[in-house]
Amino acid sequence: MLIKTTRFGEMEIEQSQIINFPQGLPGFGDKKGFIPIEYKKGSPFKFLQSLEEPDLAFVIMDPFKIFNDYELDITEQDKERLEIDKPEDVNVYVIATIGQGGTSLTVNLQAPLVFNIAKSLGKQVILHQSPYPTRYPLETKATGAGTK
Amino acid sequence: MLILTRKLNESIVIGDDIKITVLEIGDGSVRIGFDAPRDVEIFREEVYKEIREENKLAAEASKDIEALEKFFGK
Repeated sequence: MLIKTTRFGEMEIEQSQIINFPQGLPGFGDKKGFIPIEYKKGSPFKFLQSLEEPDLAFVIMDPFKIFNDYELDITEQDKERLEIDKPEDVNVYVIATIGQGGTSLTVNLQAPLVFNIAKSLGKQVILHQSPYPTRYPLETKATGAGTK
Repeated sequence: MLILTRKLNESIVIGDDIKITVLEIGDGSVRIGFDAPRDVEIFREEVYKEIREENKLAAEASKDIEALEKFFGK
């Protein structure tokens, strides 16, 4: 199917690439369909593009690439909501916020995106007992590769 | 906004499925218990608000292609 996007123009996508967010995301409760887009091969960053709103996309990345002891506890409720059968089906991403003019980058470790790729379901999970910040700063490319 | 006054251990019912109980009244704060179905999510307001605002910021920031290029690398 063809979708319209602001950043990438019109794109041909497969139904199987779509991740459904039945609850949307906080602040975007009515946006239920997203598709991950690899922006550049080998980059740890991807875009999560809204199907319903061409202008809406998030920069996301795999938190375990920057933070190898990142831990999250998925509640029973969320396991049910996401219909998770096996841990291998789970992918975790965090949303990145780029600061003014690209001078800073932070990732939201407190509310990761949890995908069940086997069922194409997704949810932004707000960690309750979390020591993690909403804005965890990564180093910019100017000072060195972003690692903890 | 509906405003009710409750004493210690008294409750409030919302709809058919949600019950809120005053468990402890302290100095400047109150401990509140929630009974709700598993599919109802409950958050401290400031936490939910923070996530919501951060999402909006992130979405807006992702439109700055130049800034993105710096981080996506060449």
